[in-house]
Amino acid sequence: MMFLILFSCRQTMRRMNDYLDRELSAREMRWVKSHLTICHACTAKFHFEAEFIAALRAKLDRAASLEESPELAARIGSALRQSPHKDAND
Amino acid sequence: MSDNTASDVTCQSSERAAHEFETLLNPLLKAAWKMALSLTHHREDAEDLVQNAALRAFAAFGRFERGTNFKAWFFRVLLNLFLHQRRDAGRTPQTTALDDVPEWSLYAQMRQAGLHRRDYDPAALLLSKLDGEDMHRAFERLPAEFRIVSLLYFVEEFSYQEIADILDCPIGTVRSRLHRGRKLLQQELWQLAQEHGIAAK
Repeated sequence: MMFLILFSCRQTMRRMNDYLDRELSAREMRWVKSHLTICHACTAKFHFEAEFIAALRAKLDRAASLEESPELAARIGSALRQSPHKDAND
Repeated sequence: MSDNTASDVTCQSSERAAHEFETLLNPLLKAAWKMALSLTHHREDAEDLVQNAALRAFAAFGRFERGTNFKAWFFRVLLNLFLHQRRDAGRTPQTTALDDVPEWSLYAQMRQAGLHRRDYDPAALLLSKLDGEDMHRAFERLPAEFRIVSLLYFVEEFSYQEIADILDCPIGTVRSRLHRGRKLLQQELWQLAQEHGIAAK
């Protein structure tokens, strides 16, 4: 027999971060999703949080790209060949 | 074996190791650079941090278990180096008790300020008013234990398990620090937005 689990708003909100980061079990993901299909208030909060994470990541990515150093890989490669290295067998 | 031949063999072995190391490292350089810039907020310091982390990791490359997560391993080296340098510079990380973080919601604040409407995305609106320097300042204001976890999550999109591996701590610790760090970060960004006049204080 199948039981329908319904999370309250409080139970759903407590799992918001884990849900957005896909860190919940498949079963809890389903329960949260079920609540979101019927609760506009929680859906709005989840949507806001997801947008915040995406916008912040995009912003950080752009900020880093502006200052990226094209010579870094070459500099590291050259430094590696002049540095001591220990083999696993040493 | 003559000295020349022994030296040739050593050179070839070092060259092979350097090549293998670079094959693993080069695809991560952009990510490492982003992380270093977020930690140091300074271009030259970020370059030095990545280069020194690469040298340190290469020196210990023999201890890296082939087939395991090189990215997590390298980020661990980079973070340890950064924390070590800060300790040497006399900058003790600011810490806070987990319970000190109050219940707070950026979503609620934006609604209250009338900045939450259906015809635009409020999170993007808020962040569009802040520049890269503001982002760094917001992260810099976080207590150390929240800042590192939040940077690994936001800058590099590591999973909870990967962050736990990098920091060598339980996944539950990552989860609680990240949840609180996220909230603190939103508070800092909101405060910066208010300082820029986006929303009335």
